[in-house]
Amino acid sequence: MLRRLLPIAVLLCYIGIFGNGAADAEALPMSRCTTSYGVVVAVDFGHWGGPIVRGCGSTPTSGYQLVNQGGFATTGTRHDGPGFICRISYAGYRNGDGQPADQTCINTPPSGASWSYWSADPGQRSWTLVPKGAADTYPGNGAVQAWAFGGSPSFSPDSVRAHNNPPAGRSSSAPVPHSSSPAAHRSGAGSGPAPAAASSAGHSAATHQAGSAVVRATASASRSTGFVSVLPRVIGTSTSPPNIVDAQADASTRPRSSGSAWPVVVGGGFVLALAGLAGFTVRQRRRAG
Amino acid sequence: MPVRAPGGRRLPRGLHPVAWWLWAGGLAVAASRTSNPVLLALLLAVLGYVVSARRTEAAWARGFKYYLWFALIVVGVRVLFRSVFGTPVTSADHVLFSLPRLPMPSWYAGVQLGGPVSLEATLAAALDGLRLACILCCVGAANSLANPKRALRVLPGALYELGVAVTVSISVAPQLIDSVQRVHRARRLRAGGRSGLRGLRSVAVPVLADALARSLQLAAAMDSRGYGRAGTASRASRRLTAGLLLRGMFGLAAGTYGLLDSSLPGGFGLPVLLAGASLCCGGLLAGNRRLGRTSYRPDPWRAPEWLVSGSGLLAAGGVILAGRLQPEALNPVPLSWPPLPPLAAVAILLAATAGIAAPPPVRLPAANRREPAERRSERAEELAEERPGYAMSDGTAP
Amino acid sequence: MTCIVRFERVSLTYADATEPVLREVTLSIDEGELCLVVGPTGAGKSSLLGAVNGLVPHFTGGTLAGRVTVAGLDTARHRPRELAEYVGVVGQDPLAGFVTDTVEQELAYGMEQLAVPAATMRKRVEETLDLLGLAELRDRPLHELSGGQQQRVAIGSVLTAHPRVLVLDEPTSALDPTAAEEVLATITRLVHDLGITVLLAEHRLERVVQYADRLVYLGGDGSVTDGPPAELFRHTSVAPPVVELGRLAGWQPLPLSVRDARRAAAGLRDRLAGHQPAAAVPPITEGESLRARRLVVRHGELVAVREVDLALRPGQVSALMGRNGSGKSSLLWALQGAGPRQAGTVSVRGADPKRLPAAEARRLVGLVPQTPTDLLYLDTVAAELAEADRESGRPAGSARTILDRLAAGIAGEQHPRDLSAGQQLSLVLAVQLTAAPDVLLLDEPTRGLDYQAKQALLGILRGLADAGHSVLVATHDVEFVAAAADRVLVLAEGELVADGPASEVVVASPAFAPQTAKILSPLPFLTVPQVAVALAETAETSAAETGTSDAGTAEPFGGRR
Repeated sequence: MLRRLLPIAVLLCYIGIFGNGAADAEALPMSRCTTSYGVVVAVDFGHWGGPIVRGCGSTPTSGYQLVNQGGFATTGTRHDGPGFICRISYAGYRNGDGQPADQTCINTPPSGASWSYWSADPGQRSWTLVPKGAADTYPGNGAVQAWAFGGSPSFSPDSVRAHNNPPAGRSSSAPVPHSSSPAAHRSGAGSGPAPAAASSAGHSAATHQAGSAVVRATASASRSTGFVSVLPRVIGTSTSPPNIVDAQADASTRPRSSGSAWPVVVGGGFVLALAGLAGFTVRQRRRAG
Repeated sequence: MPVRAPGGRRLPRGLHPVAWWLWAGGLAVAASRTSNPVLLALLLAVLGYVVSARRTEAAWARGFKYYLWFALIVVGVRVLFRSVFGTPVTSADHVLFSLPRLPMPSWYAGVQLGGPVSLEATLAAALDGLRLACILCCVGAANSLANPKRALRVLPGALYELGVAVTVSISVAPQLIDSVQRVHRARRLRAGGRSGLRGLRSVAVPVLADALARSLQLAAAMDSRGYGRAGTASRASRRLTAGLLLRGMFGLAAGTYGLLDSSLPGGFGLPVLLAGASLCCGGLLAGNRRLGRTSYRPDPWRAPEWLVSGSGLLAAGGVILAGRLQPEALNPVPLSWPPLPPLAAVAILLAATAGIAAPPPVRLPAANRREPAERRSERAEELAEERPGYAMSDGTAP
Repeated sequence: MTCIVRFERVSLTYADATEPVLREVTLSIDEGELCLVVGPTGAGKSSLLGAVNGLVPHFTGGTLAGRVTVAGLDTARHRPRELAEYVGVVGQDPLAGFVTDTVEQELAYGMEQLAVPAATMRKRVEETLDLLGLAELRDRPLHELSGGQQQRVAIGSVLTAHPRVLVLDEPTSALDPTAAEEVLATITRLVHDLGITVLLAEHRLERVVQYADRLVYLGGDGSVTDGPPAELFRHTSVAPPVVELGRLAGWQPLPLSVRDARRAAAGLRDRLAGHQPAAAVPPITEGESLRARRLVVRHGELVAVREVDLALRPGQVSALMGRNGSGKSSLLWALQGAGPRQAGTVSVRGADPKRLPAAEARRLVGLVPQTPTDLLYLDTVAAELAEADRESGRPAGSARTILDRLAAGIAGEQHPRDLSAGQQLSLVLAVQLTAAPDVLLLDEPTRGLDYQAKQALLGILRGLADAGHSVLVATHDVEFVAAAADRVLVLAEGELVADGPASEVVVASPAFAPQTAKILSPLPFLTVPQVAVALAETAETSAAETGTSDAGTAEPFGGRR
């Protein structure tokens, strides 16, 4: 029975591997995105003094796929699985190391030190906190998504949105910092999540409470699911104009080395030796008894 | 130095239960710090070796294999849950198969049911499950190596009552089961035929009345044998003990919370925890002082105890240190060969010395060896005779 | 002789009682005495014993007037736990008093509480293991031991504290005869070897009465009299058969052992020679009320009943005897149909009770289990009786009528658990008889019953048989069998090894013989009433012969392990 089922199982796995639904989505050069086509994702490395890197992806796609293509990659925690986004890396930033690099990503990171996930529909001028997991969020054409570390994004949706509506194929792949004034944006985003005029160390009581309330509410869901914990806590806001960089769509993540098999062989040897020792002891005891 | 018999072989004796628990606790801490399959396999091998080398033939010492089975179930459940509650996949992942996606209502959107299952997620879940399984096996090893009743006996004097309660409940449980079976069977004689609450009552009332009568008898017996006569402590000293213990417990709880919740200022957790622990110790000491009680055949704490508990704690320390130095090696990414961090591996392997450092277990003389089972079956015969259905329902005497 | 336990004008009244249980009791017990406490059920034996170490009233509540002192300590000022090194108490159910779970730990428990140094503890445990013959059981779990072994451990566990007084409240009432012999032999040995003072309440008087130095008799009205057993037994309402026979024959002094009685009975035997006991066996009616063929009961690997053929006749009381584990209970449960049965047939009125619904099965065969209270779960006697009427489909009040016939005077509003063991048995019997079964099975009904309750049960069973029921009683009680049964079946290893009239089977082996038979052997008398009838027939009341009794002679304990 098992023998007969085995090929079928293998076949199913094969179909599974190649019939992957996520394959439809792909990373596009930033120039392909328009106000009505594609989704823009912006990851803010400003916490470590880095740029805001934005990329473009085709639809349909999930928020999780968007931040795992075009040079971006995420790391989950061992405790919660890949769905809990602990680190985000970009191939062109700091050698492709995931940020925050000092986070071990074994247990759930502490509140206030994790990535939060924001979204703005076409035409929307302020960020909305996404209440769902990135893998469960399917942004439509023209939407903008942002990943901010620690608090709400320091930039407005419009500052990273694809404003132009040119014929496809226009090439402007050079990273052009946006000229829009951050101050204007900040006042414009007044109705959105508090952009934190507060100091870097302390945060206003209201924000803190709201933040912890959200964390509480979602913490249980995040345990075994793909939910991304959202933490609208504000930690320091740079006052300099945002440094926005376009991602290279063809940038690939650092290839993972598959390591060497030797440690496993050595470890296996030790295990076998201990097992043999155990067997020997038991046999000797039987004989003695 | 270990006591040696004239023949040069060490005298068999039971190791102090606390030593075994420290050893197993250390290994459990080590296991909790890594998901490296090589390290975990090493740890399991160490547990297996020491248990097979140093367990006795008593009934409680035969439980390790059940823990192994349970550990296997834990791994299975972990994998199953990761599959059912879908994990996000990207185009780079190796998708094994896809489960049908169950739409969840919007207010419960945080949970994703079904969807593609990737090889990476499955492996990660299996490794995480293996880690939990190893911790479980550590507990199992301690349970098979240390006599649970002797472990209860080393409770500090102030917690003595707790130990007595546990011992009594353990020995009363078989009687209660017996009582339920007997009454349940007797119901047919009356053909009450009632079901539901009324039917439950016809079983519960006689059983509870039995249990109540028995507990009163036990209380009277304990009183007349001197239980609780140590309560000659003054009111003030009793208050002191209670106050110290209560505050200490509060400190322990608050300190643990502080350690786990990193949003609290860093200086909060550890000092409060230490303060709580010292208050608790003070309370236990104060409680101990007033107890006029002795212990029959107390377990000694000698060199083997130091060696065994030390090797366990060393394993914990080594793995924790290795985790600080090279966290990636202790938590390797799936789909790559796991490395073998030397410090952690040596620390875990050192714990295997407990199998040699501990004195050989006391074994029944060969002539007596098979007898308990026979005697048990005799007793089962008698019990079965007194209460038909007894042997039938569980095969042997409890 | 120093007085170790002293009661001075002690009266005891429980909280919700109007009448005192003990009234103005004055008693002093000397060191090294074996003091036997006798009296009908409910006369306050347990209260008297409990008062010795202060469990009464410290633990049970109630008001104690007067003064009880043990080794000079007043129980009013010392709680039971403080008297632990002076008084050791052993109860009826050893398992209920165990705190730990292995023999060795249990022996040490009391000493640990008394803070005895570890080295002394070790020594005393070893001594006690040897003294009570428990050495090879030292590591065994307590619940695996047989009843007799458990009770010996219970005795040992209080002995290790080296008490000066040992109080035993019916230590054998929950045990079968073999285990009871084992325990009583241990107690007598302790008295003789250690000189420990023992206060003992016991149903099986015939086993201990010869060793007693003093008898404390509770009359049931709160009064307490004490004195040498041979004198006091002349007037007690509770007495073993040997004493009753002595009273009947007017022997002086009253013999307390079979040996003494046999030496005194030469004249009686002569007088009775040629007389036959009145035919107790009624004419066996034709027909069978129950027929079992090749009955097999197994519990796993164990064959409890092995291909037994059995027929019960209406109007007959049969006794089922055999040692523990010989398959008696399994056979009864299989006959009723509620227990397992792997092969064979049972037929009552042409039907097999096992294949019928429980309600119909109990109309054919009724069973009173070993623990009758398992069947009682309601708050009042009246509710239980009403429930029995409903279950049996009888008009209201029929169960009450039956109960009044069995044991009059049980109030309807009483709680079933507050009744005495005999009354509980009557209540359960009434509940089972409400269904009017042809066949009635009783499993060890005499456990925990005193002489009077047994006498009452005897009358009940006789009455049921006369009314046409078949009665089968599984029991160890030889005296009861001798008085009650027409027919005796002996079961060994699940097989029926003997089946015949009681007078033949019971006398055939010395172990099974009742005291009267042993005294009057080879005459075929089994019970004292039979002798009384025969004596009345002879109508010659010659002066009683006096036999000299030798003190200190011991009856061999046949069943001792």
